[in-house]
Amino acid sequence: MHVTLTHFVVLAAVLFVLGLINLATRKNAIGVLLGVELILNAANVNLVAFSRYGVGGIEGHAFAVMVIALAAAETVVALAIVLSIFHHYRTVDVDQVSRMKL
Amino acid sequence: MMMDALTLKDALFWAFAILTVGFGLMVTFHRSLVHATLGLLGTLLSVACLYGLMDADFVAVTQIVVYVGGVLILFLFGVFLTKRIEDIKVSNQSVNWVVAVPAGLVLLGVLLYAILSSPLPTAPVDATGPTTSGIGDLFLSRYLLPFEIISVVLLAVLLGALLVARRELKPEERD
Repeated sequence: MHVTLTHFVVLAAVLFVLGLINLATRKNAIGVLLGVELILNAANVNLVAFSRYGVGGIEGHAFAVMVIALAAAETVVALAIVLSIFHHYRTVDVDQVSRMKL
Repeated sequence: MMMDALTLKDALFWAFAILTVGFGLMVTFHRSLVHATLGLLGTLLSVACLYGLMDADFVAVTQIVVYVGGVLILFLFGVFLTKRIEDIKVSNQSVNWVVAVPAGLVLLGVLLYAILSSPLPTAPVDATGPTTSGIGDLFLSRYLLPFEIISVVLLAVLLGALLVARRELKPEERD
């Protein structure tokens, strides 16, 4: 059986669910960010796969590149916030960081 | 669908798919945060190989340069900077397994049902060769505004991250 679009979409769904479980189970803020990256990659696999199989043409690639750029930006800001939280609270446990102000 | 021999592309797809899911499992379920981050490295590389398999050469290279070269280094940086606190606790504690895993499996079931019951195209379009010029054309014509907005976003992120991560001394410890 040849590889079809369905295979790629199923793979992306598995990656997405893994990322979601990661989001729900990690207590460490950086671990939570790892889950976000998994989810973004799942979305990107979908975009490129649909583009490959004739839906939307090359625009899927352009969209995927934008997603990668925004994911990088998101990671930078999130890690800056995590480091700032670590300076203030001496922990990166998302359960214990429950106040917005000091 | 006929059951003919596995072509090289199919075999490569299965190999990279297994690698992707395996490393994804490592990201999600490994207790050590350092190992989870290294698992993310494997996932990102496998996904880049899948992009290559789908003739998305530019996206594959962007994935490696931006994700593996930039984002992952930042993650390792963050993990090691906050590692001290990890040593005190019992590894990296995780919570909510009982709820999260069954909920995730149910969601996966719903997604699989939706995917398998929808008529997706099965035949790939003919590969058009290098995609870089096509993507460049799109960014400088039809998607010029999003392209420019992203450049502004990147500048804002650069300044914002500096502002947020800068260690601000409290008034009492300034002297």
